[in-house]
Amino acid sequence: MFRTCLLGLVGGVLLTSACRSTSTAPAIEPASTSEVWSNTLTVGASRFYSFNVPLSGNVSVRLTELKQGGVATDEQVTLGLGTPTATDCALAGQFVAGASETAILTGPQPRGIYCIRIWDDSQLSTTTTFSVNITHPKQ
Amino acid sequence: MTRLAVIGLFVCVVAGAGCQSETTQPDYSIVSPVTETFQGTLDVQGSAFFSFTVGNPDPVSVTFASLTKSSGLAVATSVRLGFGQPSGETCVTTTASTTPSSLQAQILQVATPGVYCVIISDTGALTESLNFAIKIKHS
Repeated sequence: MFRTCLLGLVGGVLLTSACRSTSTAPAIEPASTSEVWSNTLTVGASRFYSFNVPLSGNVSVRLTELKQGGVATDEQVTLGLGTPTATDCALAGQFVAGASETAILTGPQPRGIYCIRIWDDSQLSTTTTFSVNITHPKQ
Repeated sequence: MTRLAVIGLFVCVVAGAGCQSETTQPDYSIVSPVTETFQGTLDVQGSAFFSFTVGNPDPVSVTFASLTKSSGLAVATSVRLGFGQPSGETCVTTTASTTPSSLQAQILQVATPGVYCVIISDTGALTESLNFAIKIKHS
């Protein structure tokens, strides 16, 4: 009987310890990487770019450059973050922005494949080159 | 002593039950297969891709079902058909083949939940723009 009692107590302690070991530790932000997407946007056109976020973590997007004829412009374009769907990028949100070093989209995202869409919503006067910098967790 | 044994066993059972409740189970919901149709025009030396989301780790079948002239006349020209994931401004393939249209699936691929794509491209055989239809069945 004593053996049964002891086994029961030891089993209980071990299992309780096992449960304790699953307690949550402080979240650690994974290492990040950056991708640069550069291309040309004609008047009234749109483009999108897909990227993989292999781990949950912070994603930030900056529109770093807008140029017309090789010269920086203060005209604006519209950008959005979403998921590649059918032949386009289905957006979860969108912003009007000009070139800036400040992130225009930033926040935590679960792992997955996302896309950035850029388009001219009657904002551009001529063909414009752009650069978008996307920072996200890496594997 | 009997009381202690009962308490020991009770602790064991309760602690064990606590742990069991944390056992992780695959988080797959039951999703009925869906068929999406990717239709468009393939230009000479051109390509087009279509993205879709797989919810369950079931086989994905891709059927390049038709290739026709603007008059509706079917043509037997082979094109490149690929399956992969959206990346950058295109669909990066993991499986691809050069094939004419057919009523049988040309690509059958098991895919884990995530975003995938199908791409069609001219390998140099097209002499004019043609209309295509691709059926994608996935869960």
